[in-house]
Amino acid sequence: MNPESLVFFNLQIYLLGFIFLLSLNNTVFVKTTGSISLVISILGVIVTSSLLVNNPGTVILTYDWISVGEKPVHFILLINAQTRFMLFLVQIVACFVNLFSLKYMSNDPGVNRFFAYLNLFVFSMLGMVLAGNLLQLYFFWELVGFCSYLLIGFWYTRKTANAAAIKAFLLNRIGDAFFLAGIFLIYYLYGTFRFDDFAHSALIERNYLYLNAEQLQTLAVVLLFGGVMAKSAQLPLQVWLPDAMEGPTPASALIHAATMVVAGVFLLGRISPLITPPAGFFISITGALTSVIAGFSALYQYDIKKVLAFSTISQLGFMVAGMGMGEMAASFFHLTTHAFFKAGLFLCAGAVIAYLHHEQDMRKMGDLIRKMPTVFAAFLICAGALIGLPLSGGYLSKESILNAAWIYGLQSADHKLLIPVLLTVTSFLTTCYVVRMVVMVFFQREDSPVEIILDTTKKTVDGALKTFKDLLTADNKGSGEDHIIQFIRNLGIYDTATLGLAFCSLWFFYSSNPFHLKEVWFFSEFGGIKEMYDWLPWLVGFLFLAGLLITYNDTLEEIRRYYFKKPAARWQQSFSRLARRQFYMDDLYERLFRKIFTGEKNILKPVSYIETAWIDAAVVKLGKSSVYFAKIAGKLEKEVIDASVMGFFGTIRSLGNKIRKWGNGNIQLYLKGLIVALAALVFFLIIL
Amino acid sequence: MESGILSSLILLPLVGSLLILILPRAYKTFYKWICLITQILLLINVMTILGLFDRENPEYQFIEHSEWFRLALGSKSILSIDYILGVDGLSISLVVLSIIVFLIASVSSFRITYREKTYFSLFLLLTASVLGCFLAVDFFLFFVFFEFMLLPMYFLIGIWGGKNRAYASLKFFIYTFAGSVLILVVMICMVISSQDEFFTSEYARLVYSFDFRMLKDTTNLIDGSILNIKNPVSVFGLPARDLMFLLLLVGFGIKMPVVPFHTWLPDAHVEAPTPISVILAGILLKIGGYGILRVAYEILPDASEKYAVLIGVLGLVSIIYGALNALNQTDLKKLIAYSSVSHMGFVFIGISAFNSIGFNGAVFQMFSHGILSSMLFLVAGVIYERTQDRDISAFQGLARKMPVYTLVVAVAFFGSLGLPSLSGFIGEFLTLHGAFQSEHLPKVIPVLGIIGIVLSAIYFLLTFQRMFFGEFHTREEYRTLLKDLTKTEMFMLGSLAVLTILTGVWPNLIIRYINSSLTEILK
Repeated sequence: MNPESLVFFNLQIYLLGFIFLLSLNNTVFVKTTGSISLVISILGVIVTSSLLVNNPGTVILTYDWISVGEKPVHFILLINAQTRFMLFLVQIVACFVNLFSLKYMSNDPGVNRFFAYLNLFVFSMLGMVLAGNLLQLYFFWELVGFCSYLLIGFWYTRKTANAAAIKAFLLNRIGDAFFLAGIFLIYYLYGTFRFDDFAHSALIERNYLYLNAEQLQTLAVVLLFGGVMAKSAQLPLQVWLPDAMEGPTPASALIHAATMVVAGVFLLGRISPLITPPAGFFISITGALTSVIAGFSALYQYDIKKVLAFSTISQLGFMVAGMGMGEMAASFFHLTTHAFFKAGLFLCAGAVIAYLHHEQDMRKMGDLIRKMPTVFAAFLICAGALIGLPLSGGYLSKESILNAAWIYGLQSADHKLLIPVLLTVTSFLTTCYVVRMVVMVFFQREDSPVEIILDTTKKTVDGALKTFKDLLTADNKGSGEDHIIQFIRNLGIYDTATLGLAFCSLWFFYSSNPFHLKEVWFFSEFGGIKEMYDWLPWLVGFLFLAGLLITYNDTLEEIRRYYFKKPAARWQQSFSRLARRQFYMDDLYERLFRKIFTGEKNILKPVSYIETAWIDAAVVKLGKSSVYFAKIAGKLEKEVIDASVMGFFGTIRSLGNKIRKWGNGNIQLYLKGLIVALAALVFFLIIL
Repeated sequence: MESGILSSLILLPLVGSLLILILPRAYKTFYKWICLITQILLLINVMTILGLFDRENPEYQFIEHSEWFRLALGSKSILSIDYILGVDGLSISLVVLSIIVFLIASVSSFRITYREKTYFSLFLLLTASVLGCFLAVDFFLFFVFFEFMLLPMYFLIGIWGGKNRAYASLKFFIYTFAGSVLILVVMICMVISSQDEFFTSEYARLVYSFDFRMLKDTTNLIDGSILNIKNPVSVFGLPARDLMFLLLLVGFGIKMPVVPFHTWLPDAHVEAPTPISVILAGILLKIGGYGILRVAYEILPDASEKYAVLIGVLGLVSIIYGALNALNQTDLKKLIAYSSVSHMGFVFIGISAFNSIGFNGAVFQMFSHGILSSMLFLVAGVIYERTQDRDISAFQGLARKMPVYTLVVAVAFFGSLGLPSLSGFIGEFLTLHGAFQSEHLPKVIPVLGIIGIVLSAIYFLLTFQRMFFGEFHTREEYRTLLKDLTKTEMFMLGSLAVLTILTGVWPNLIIRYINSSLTEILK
């Protein structure tokens, strides 16, 4: 098939899936929706992989869309390297999440809605990935936000879920307002929305106010970055993402960890030719600051999903910082590995939460290493990737961003050194909160986890050795082989989905060498690395060990304090509260919103005052005054004009009445009068 | 090509209206069917026109021209008033919109059970005058239809309205009538300052014509008349052409409505019965925008360009002020009415841009608002007809009880707050985009206009959440009344929803018809 029909097939299955699954509402087929949706997503993966394997190069498909004036805006599907890896990534994660939700959501009455939204989300995400111009990207960008709104508020009878959904939508709207302004400004400067034009089309030399074209371009990129701040949860618009965890866990895994939130990074990749050095610095410093602050917040959370949410924000900060430094390859690489291991972590968390009957407080968990060994294994692999331990994809990708950051910091001006330092701090914080999480959730409180791990490892190794021996001796009846078969047979849906994602976050998908960046295929696709610091792995390794040692004991201490209700030191308490509440940014926004719209002195009161007391009152007064004038006119009519006419009339009548009295029938008198009158007439005639 | 198809658009409803008047009261169940069938026939005719319409041609098409009357003014001049109908890209989009909205409104009118004869005959009369207004190419004819519209509207609100209907209908009438007076003044001034050269030479007398095509041509201006461009006459310190433009702006601005001439709208909307609210918001508001584009911009291009910033600022104020007021409302219908004010502000911003992006955006926004506001008022009507209550706080958690209704409301609300893939987004985007790229406007106007998009998200989302989410909770007596949509309602709302999605996904559906005519206005 040619790329055009492949892409259209790919898009339409999800859209039709959405409509079809939604139409199954309240029918007997509700239970089957999960399987239908799974079939759709497997189909999608197959279709996309044929696009990936055949590698048709850059394909641009153009259709008429908005033919305004002389410069119509086309609907463009742009398929290049960036599109292809993202297409595949989105669908494969969606496929795993779909598999997981099959069990996780099966008892929910509105399960068909869930899968329908999931399909709509994948459709919009693919549309965004394929978008060939800024307007189109914005179009799908808002649609994915809408799907996120739907899924956060999936349990719509819950108050908190609704509040979180609205918050997510509104904060994204604010970001999108900046994004929209940025789009306008870009068009003003370039006369086009198309991504493929940006690389080689010249800036139209325009000045506006005191800014020249270069500065305007920086401004435009910063405005576009406003959209990224909201969508990819960067400072200061990151507060919606932790709340978004109100949605079902699989949705969080797909949307709020793996795919939608990285849309911002994807956008920065699309507009990378436009990013000027000052804008790049702004972007990377925002990303670095976000990653540190979110790292601190993650360190003090008790809710397992919130830890993962803050960790997502922190890792997004990493990617955004990478984009700001112009390291597209490193950012995309980290985006990919992050999508897998973070989705894996979320699904593991979902499995844990389901196992514990919707308990999300980590302090109440523990000892799950024995209860859910497979999930633990998956969790450990993903967590290792998040920390950046060798043999994982996370090691390579994190390394590449840190490496790029140090190059960026060391080879140029002093203030840029801040970025690698902040990112390294984040890397340390990551170790701390991941270790804390693993210890709290999985390890037993009394026994040493090291022993458990050694024990399990020993058993596994023994089993493997036995199997190997059996294979060598061709002893099919041996128990080792049976064990493995049994193990695979006993794998549940949760285990499969999480192990699958954990498998994807190992190194071999990305590079043949697990320890060195040289062979990562992202670099050959999106541009290589300039230089490599050999001391960096040592630094990171040292930070990991330090973090492990510090946090392990601290976490045990923390749990002990929790059980014995012993308060921590005062400064620790206050700092942990500060970090947990996101340094009060959330409360600040909420208070601001209330003050503006619902508080005592809100903005609406003067507006309604103007409306009723000024504008409407003026109109009513105008109406009333016209009635008043009409009354005056009426009075005038009655008392002046009418009265004068009537008065005149009355005078004449009274005169007539007087004269009438003369007429009493005396003919001599008439004759006398006639003669007098005639004489007077003659007299007058003679005189004149 | 005198096919008479345009006349049929005006004659059909008139005949229908007459038929209803003649038919005795014993057959009163037929009235609504006559009304509906007339609308369907109109739809068929309009679709035929749409099929034959040449999209590349910016001029009037299907022109029907016949003499109406000639008035000799002394021995030197003649006033020639003609019956000219025609459609171009601008008017055809609005004709199509009005037919759709009238069809939906006539289905919605099936619930009317009080004085049906009067209602349906007035309804058809309104149809005829609205269509006449969009089709007229002669200023006098336009004005006659424009004025005549008020009459059925006044009675439709005044007889079938809510509690406060007398006040609302009077306010509506006086407001719009004041606007028409201004337009009348401008019409007279325009007509007496230009001549129809062709007929002038034929009759050897000065012929004053009302033909838009004649008035548009500046070479027809009589030397020394008030609207003369070369020697501007100034009235009250303003050049006469500017004054004329401002009068038109106020006249049509009232109809639009633009802040501060908008206060008739909330009252009229709240009191009017559902189908009349739908027509009012869906079509009558568009006549304001149409009038400005057709009369002010085409005939006084120089003056309009001068006041671009003023129009832009008026639009901006309408957007923000309307949205803030909408945030303030507890009555669902009032909220929708103020959101209309806010959305029509985008039309103003679009037409102030003076480039084809902005104009296309403005007309697209009018079309989209016509569909969306019809949906919104129908949606409000659904609740009101079931419970006689429109208070937002009286309902909670309707999603569980009325799932289909929730879906339709979601389309209407999210369309209005500008979610891409629904038509509201394209209108808002194009108007703001046009304004930003315009040479006539400061950039701050579109940038502040973006705030309107954020505000509209706030009030629609909060309303949606309050009414539909959470546990189902409402007054005891409403519980049995709140049932999901009937088949008729599903048809009305569903077809409008499909239109919203279609135009939102593929804007060219409208833009390819309007683009060439709107680009022509710019020249």
